[in-house]
Amino acid sequence: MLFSSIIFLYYFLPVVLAAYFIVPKKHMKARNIILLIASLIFYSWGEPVYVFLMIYSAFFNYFMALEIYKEKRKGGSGKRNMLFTLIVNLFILCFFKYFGFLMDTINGILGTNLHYTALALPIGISFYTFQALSYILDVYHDRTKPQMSLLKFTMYLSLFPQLIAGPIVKYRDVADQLEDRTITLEKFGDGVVRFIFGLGKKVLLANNLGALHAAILALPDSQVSIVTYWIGMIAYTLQIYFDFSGYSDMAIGLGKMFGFEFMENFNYPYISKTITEFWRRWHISLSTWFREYLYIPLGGNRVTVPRHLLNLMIVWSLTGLWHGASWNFVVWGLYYGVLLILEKYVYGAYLEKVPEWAQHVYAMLIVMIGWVFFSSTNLTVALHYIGVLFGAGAFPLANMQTLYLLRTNFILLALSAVISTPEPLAQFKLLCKNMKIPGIIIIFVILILSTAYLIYSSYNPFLYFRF
Amino acid sequence: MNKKAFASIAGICFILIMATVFILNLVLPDKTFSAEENRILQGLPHFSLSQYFEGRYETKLENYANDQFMLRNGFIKLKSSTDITEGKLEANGVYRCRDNYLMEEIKKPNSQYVNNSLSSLRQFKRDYPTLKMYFLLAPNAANILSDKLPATVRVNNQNTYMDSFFSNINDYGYKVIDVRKTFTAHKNNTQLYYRTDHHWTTDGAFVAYKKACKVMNIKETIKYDSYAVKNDFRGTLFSKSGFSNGMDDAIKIYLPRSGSSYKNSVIYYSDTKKKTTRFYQLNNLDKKDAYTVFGGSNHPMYTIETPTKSSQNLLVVKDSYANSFIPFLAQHYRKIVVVDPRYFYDDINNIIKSNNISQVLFLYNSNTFFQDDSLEMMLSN
Repeated sequence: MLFSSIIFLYYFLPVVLAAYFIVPKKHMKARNIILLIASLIFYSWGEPVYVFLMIYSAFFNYFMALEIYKEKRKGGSGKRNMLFTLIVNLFILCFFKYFGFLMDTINGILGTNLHYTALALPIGISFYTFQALSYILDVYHDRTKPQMSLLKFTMYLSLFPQLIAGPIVKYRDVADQLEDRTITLEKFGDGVVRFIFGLGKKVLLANNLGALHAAILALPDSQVSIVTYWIGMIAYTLQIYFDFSGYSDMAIGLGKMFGFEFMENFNYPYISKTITEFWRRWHISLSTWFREYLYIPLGGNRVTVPRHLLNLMIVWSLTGLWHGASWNFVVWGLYYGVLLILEKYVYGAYLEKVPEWAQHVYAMLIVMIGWVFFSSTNLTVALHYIGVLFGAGAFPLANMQTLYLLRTNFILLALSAVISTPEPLAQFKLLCKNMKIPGIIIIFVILILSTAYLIYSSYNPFLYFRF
Repeated sequence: MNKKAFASIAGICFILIMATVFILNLVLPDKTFSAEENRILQGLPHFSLSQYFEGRYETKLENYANDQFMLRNGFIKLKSSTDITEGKLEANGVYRCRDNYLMEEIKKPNSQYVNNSLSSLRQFKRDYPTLKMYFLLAPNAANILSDKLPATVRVNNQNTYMDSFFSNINDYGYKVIDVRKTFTAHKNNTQLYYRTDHHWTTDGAFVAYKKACKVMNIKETIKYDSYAVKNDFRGTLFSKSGFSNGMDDAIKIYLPRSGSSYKNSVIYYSDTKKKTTRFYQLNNLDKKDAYTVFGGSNHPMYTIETPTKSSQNLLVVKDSYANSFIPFLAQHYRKIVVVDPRYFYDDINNIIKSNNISQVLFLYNSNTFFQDDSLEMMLSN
C-alpha cells in the first residue's frame, strides 16, 4: 500500500488509529499486536507473497540474535553465528535484488547467454535487511541487548510507517519505544502536521515534477533543446527530493501519531555548499548506516591514505548499488566517492575561499548531474543527456517547446525551489506562533488539495471518441 | 506553550476530519454510473482469499475507494482549477485555448493504418470504376483555429497529412472535397467548431455542405433557418479535460424555410429497426452527450429515403462528423445508405448492389480518420 493513496489515507489509517487508541494505554502488548497486524496487511497489500519473506527474515534474525547473545554470555565470541547471519541476510537481498543484474553483467563480460527469470523486487527489502543487519551487528558488539519478544522484534522490522522507504531505523534507537511509548495530543498533532506536509510534498510537488520530467524525456529529438533538458534535470532534482523527503516526513509523522520517534532523514540537502555537506543532509539514515556498519569497521580514515581512498571507494560504490541493481547506480556512487575524495584531499580548502554563491552553484551542479545518472535507464542514455546539457549534438538553445514548458510549469518549479530551502517552514512556524487559525487552514488546504490530486488520478473519462 | 496548543488543534482537527470523512464514505450510497466520466463506477468488491492473493481484490478495493469517494466530482473540479491557476494548458490531450475554446491536439497519423486505408481505397475504386466517389476529410479545430491556440503551443501540422492524403486519393480517381479554404474564409464570422466538443457545429457542417455541393455538382434548392435548441451544451472535450472553461455552447438545428420545396425523408435504422421522419432527436438534448441529437448514437447502418426528383442513390461512409451533415444531403438523393465502418460488419458489396448505389461519399474528420483501421477492414472485407 502507498501512503499517497485514498485507500491508505481515508480507510486504512483511520481504522488502524481507531483500533490502536481504543485499546487502553496500559495494554501495550495489544497495541503492539494491532500495529503488527496493520503492518502485515499494509505490506501484503497487492502483492501478498513476499510478506512471508519478511516474516522469515524477522524470525531468522530474532533467533540468530538470541543465539549470538547466548554464545557471548557463555564466553564465546559469537563471530561465526554473526557472520552466518550476515551472509544469509545479504544472500537473500542479493538473490532478490541483484540476481538479474549479476547475470546481465556476467553475460556482458563473458559474452555468454545465460537465461534467468527476473524476480519481482520485494518492496522495502533493502530497508528492512539493513535494519536487521544493524540489529545483529549491534547485538554482536554489545551495543544493544537482544529483543526477547518475537512479537516486538517482528513489529520493529515490519513497522508500516517506515517499512517501504525508510528512514532506516536502527533497532537500538527504538528499543525503548517498543516497550513503552508516550503519546500526547501535542505529539499526535505534531505527527499530523508532519504527515500532511510530507503528503503535500509527494502528491502536489513530486508527482507533478515527475510528470514534467517524464514529458521532457519523451520529447522527440526534433523538439529537444538545451534549456529544455536543463529544465528536465532541475525538475528531476526537485522531484526526487520531494518524493523521498516527503515519504520520510510521512513516515516520521505517522510514527509520531503512534508514539514513535524516528531519526530525521533529510536536512535541506539543496542548501549545501559542498558535496561533503550534501551527504550530511541527504538520506541521513542511509549514510550514517554505511558509516557505522561499513566505513568505520573498514578502518575509516584512521588508516594510510591509499587505504582510506580504497575504503571510500568501497563504501560509495556499495551506496550506489544499494539504490538499484544497475551500473548507473554504481557510477553514481563512485562519482560521489571521487568528489568526496577530491574535496577532502585536493580542493576542499580552496573551495572555502570562493564566494558562497559559487559554492552553492558548485554543489548543486554536481548534485544535479549526479541525478542524471540516477534517473537514466542506462549509462548511454545518461551520457547522451549530459552531452545535450553542455551543447553536444547541435540542439537549439531553446525553442517553442521550452517556452511552453516554462509557461505551464514555472509556478510549480519556483514554488518547489523555494520549499526546498528552510525559509518557508521557518515562516510557517513563526505564523503558527502568532496566529493559529491561518496555520491550521494552510495544513488542511494541503490535505484537501492532495486528496483532490489523488482522486483525479482515477479520473478516467470514457468517451465515445470513436463516434 | 503556543506551539503545543497549535499541534493539539491540528491533531483534533485531523481526528474530526478523518472520522467525518470515514463515516460519510460509509454512509453515503454508492453510485453505479458516473455521467461526467460516462463509465460504470467500481462497486464494493466481494472478498475472496484467492483474489486477495492475486492482488485483484486490492486493486478493486482501491478503485472502489477512489470511485465512491464523497464529493468526487468536486475534488476533480478542484484539481482542474488548481492546474489552471498554476498555468497548465493541457489535460488528457486537450488544450485550453483563447476565446474559451478547448481543442483536441492534432495526433500524428498512424502511418500503417493510413497506408492500409489508402490501398483499400484504391482497390475499391478499381472494383467500381463507374461509381462517382467523393472524399470529404474535415480539418479539426486546432488546424483551422490554430490562431486561438495558446501562444507557446505548437500542434502537429495537419495540413501536410491532409495534402498528402488528398493527392493520393486524387490519383486513384476520387473527387476531393477540401473545405479548408472555405473554413478559413468563414472562421471569423461563423462558429465552425464547438468550444467544448470535438465536432464541428451545424453551421460548420453547413459551410462544408455548400462546398460539397460545388464539387458534387448539386444545386442547393432549399433555404434553411437555424434554431438553437440547446444553449448549455458541454461536450466531449469538456469531459475529457475536466477544464471548466465557463462558456457553454449552443446546438443549432437547421429547418427548411416554409414555402420551400422541402421533401420529408423516411429514415430507417437497421440496428434498432426503427422508422422515423425526424433527423433530429430532440429528447437527446438532455442527455450527457447532447451531440446525439443528430441521429442518435452510433448506428452501424441506416437508410434515408426521400421522394426527390433525382434518381441517384448515395452511399455515405462516415464517422460522427457526418451526423449533422447528412440531413442537408437528403434533399438531393432518392436514397442514402449510411454506414459507419467502425460498427458495420456486413458485406459492403451487397449493400452497393442491392441499393443500386451510384455515388459514394466518404466523410471523416482528420484526427479520427488518421487513427482508424476500420475502413480498410470494411472495404477489403
